[in-house]
Amino acid sequence: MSLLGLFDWGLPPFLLLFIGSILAACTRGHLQKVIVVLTPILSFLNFYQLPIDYNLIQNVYGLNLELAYSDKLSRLFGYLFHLAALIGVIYSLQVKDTIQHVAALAYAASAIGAVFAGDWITLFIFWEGLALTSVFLIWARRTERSYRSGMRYLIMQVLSGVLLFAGALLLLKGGLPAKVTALSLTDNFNQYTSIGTWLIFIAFGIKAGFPLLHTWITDSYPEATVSGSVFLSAFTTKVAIYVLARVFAGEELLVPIGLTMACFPIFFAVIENDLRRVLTYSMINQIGFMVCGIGIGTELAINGSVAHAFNDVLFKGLLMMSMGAVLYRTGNINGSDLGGLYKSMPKTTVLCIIGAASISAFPLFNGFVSKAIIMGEVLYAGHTIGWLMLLFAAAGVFHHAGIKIPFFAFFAHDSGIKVKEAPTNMLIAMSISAAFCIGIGMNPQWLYQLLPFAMDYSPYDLTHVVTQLQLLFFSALAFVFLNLKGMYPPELRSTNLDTDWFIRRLFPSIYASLQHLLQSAFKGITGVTSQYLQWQTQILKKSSGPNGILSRGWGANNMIFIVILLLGALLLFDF
Amino acid sequence: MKNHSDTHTDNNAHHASGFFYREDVIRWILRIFYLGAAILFFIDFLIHRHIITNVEKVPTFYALYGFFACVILVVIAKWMRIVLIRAENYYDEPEDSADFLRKQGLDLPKSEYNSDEASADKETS
Repeated sequence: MSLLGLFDWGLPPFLLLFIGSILAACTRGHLQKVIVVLTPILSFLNFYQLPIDYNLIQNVYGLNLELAYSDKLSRLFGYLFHLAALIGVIYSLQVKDTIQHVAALAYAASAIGAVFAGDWITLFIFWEGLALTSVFLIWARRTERSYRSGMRYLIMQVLSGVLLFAGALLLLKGGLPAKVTALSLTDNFNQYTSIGTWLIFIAFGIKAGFPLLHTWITDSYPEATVSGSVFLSAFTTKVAIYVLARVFAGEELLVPIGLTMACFPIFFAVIENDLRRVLTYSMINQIGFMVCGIGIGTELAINGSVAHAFNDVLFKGLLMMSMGAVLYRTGNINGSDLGGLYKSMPKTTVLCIIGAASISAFPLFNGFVSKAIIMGEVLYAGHTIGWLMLLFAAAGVFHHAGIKIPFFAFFAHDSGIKVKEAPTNMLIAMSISAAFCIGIGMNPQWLYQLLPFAMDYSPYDLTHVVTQLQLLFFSALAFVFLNLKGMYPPELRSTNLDTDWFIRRLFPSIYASLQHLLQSAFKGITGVTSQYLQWQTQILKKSSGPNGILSRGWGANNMIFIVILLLGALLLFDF
Repeated sequence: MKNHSDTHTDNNAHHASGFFYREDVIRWILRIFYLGAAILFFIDFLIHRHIITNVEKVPTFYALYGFFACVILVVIAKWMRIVLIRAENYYDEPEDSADFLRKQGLDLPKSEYNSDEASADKETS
């Protein structure tokens, strides 16, 4: 205990990670590796000893900012993000790229800062911090594609930040306090707070990947570096889940949104070839469960949602890491080109299967202990159709993440690829995740006691276990059946259109055709004008040119003749 | 390193070897799996499930739902693919993962998988 007391510095939870990020920028080689690993550990030791009701109010230019506010909900995410940061830095130890280490630590710091932000302005600052730090994990891949994808990512993230800021200002103008508290989309006492609440809702929705706002996830995460996508999959969307749980718990609109998110991505995941992109679709699917639970809004449902967010970081991180290891070793992550890798990478295979079992919510793995809570609460709330949709999504996730990911990477047809096993540090990082997946699955009370609301719940009763196993076994049976019948869609080298087609193809093409139209209109106008000018010049040339009628020398008799003519006319009219 | 430029073509393009490619092993895995599924199917008639909603009263509801949900999922996904599939470099930014890894100085053996610029096989078979 006294040893722990050495680290009782009482610093704000995000500070040490930022400092570590700066130190990582100034160092290289082994010293840098030591710093990036020690940073999350020291930060955790400091954070662990902060009082449960820790808060920090700082006066910045006459503005009282609540830089840190802690309660049980934010603390849970504090634990989670420290764990994710540690696993992530261990996984990325073989990376020699300083930018990635700096960005990753600053990204983790922003995520923790956002979770502990006490007021809207502080939240906005860390919200933008998340965007600006994480985009470097995408750009660090240094391909044309990742550059463009990073730009699209940044546009969406900054848009979310701007909406959040505008919404926060409207709330302040409408007379609400600056503190981040629960809001309602329907009950607002004036129009400022009403519009402000909607803006904030959309801002959160972008970060959480609501339907139609989701494409930045599936577009950018697979374009990030091997270790970058591991960090990305842990933080941004989970911060969104945290703020939704804090601000919009019980908001009924979240239930249909969550159901849509849980269902539509699984179709895309089945036909997607890039296995890391499959994981991003399955991430939206898992977030759908969480959003749904937040929409239900009971204490148990909120507990279920944040518990599922906790578990998702672990098992999605594990799957992302195993696919990253495959990409790192083979240079390829297309299901169509992989297969048979279990022979070269047996340890990665086993770890990936643990992640797959966890995301599929097999009993004794962590997905089971949190998904069961949400499903149960949806059913108790009387949403039978919604429950059937979630059940469909639960079967689907087993199909595309639980079976497809390990099957096409490590088994399926033998691609003949022979590579080395994943590097030791990657295996260690994956093993830590896997240990938590199984540990929480077997002892759910470890996680349950950290949840924001007290609960007396056990997922392990006969009904739960048997029905879940029936669901999973028969989903697997469908996979076997479709494969044996040759009906399973083969992995193809392809791009599948998603709604980002609108911003990547339709809008640019509309813009291009508008531009073309304007250009041709402009050309037409200038053409007509220049012809008119030429015609005018011709007339001028004729009249005033060297032999023009106006520039010719006039004889005296001609002039006298015209004068007489004019005088005659005058006389005539005057008379 | 072995040449595997045709990896994306067909199941039988390679002579597959290894424990999990042996016919008898696959057969045994499937047998055990079928046995498990059968036990789970029939156990539904022996135990008493807690029932909250009416649809759960259907015998072996979860098993049937899981099976048909996945079959329907795949069938719809195949239809969707017909409409949504485009060439791999559709968004016109061809990339080379291996190049990127090499640039990073990572120890990656160069192989042929990125050498062809094959566009997607548009057949959905």
